[in-house]
Amino acid sequence: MRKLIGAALAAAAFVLAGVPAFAADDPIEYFTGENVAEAVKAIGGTDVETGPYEGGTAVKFKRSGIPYLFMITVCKDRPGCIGLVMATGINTEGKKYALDLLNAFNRKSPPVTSIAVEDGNLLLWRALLSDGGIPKANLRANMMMLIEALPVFIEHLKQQLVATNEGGTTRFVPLSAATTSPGLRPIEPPPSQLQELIKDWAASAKR
Amino acid sequence: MHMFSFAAGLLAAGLCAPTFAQAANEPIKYFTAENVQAALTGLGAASVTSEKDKTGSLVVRFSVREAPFLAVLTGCKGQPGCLGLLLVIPVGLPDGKFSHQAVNGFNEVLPFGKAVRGDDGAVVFLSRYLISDGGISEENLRANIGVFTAMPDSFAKYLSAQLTASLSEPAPHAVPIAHLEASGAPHSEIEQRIEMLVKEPRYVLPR
Repeated sequence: MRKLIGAALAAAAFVLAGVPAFAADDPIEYFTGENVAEAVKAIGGTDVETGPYEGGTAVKFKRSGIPYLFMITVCKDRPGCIGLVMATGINTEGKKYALDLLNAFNRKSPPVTSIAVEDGNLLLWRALLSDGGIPKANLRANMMMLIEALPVFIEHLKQQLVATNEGGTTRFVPLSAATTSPGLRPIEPPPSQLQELIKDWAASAKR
Repeated sequence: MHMFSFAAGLLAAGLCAPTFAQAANEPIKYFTAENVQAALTGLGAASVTSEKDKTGSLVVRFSVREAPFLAVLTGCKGQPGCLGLLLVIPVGLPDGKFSHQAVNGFNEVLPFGKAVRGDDGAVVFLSRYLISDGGISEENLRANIGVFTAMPDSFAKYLSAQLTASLSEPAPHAVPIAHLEASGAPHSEIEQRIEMLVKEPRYVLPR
């Protein structure tokens, strides 16, 4: 298991299997629903939906059945949008995960950030800037950073120790070994929370 | 939901400043000490130097507004250059420690970088991780570095906006946490760098 985790981490951090080789394509100067959706489809995204939200555009899709929400932001007072927040969520089904567990993941996985939101669910995200231009291949590679980090994150959460009193002796075992269902289910990030955050960023950017 | 304004950070980072001119330069395929130093010099960073750390990895040091930053080149093995660039600055408080809540809260409001709490809470690592997979323009690299160098100010402002109670040490968690490092799992390359950065002098945040 440890070897698997190590290998997965290395893969998530450094080697992006499946990302097309470097290609000299036109860089994206501003994020749009169209160019983000195009990149999403290129990495295998399905059920791609693009729609407006207050202050920007959202691109929803699934990949391998897992829902993602990418939000285009930092658009005001400029010719286009230069911010892209790529997120996915995890429904913990009521279980509260300790913040130091998330901190440990953030420490070992710099490409993405995990956070706990008010309802106890978790978000995993990575944000990009297009300022100065971003090659499409680099955009796709960055998207893969988030996608490949999700299973590593879930595996990390399952390492949380819980106490068991099996056989009359208290000991600690990984959550994944103590329960048949660790209660982790990828979900679309709660749009209301993400939109509220992004509204703040968008408002900030215009000041 | 935190209502911290990200405006100061965006302003300081140059997100609200005129966009860098689009240049016809070829994207950077691999990070090197030379192209990272060139980007930093172009941004007006001071004291730009590079060195090899104990593991042979390249570390570029620079300062912006007297805050000392590091750029650690990662993902270099078997490559003509490096595919990852970890921008990081260890920060501390004149007194007191950082709580997990403060770190998680900050990560909620600043998507373009992240904060990771050191083991004892006396230090927080502010970081942003860039990849050159698929190419990254020098202008985009500069924009990302510009955003990152505003993070200490953003973090200080965020902390100031929080209740004093949020800076106090949280109550011990009832559930022990299994850190991967505690289980003997192999450290990722980046995590090793973070371990080494613990020994770096920390930047004391203004209050």
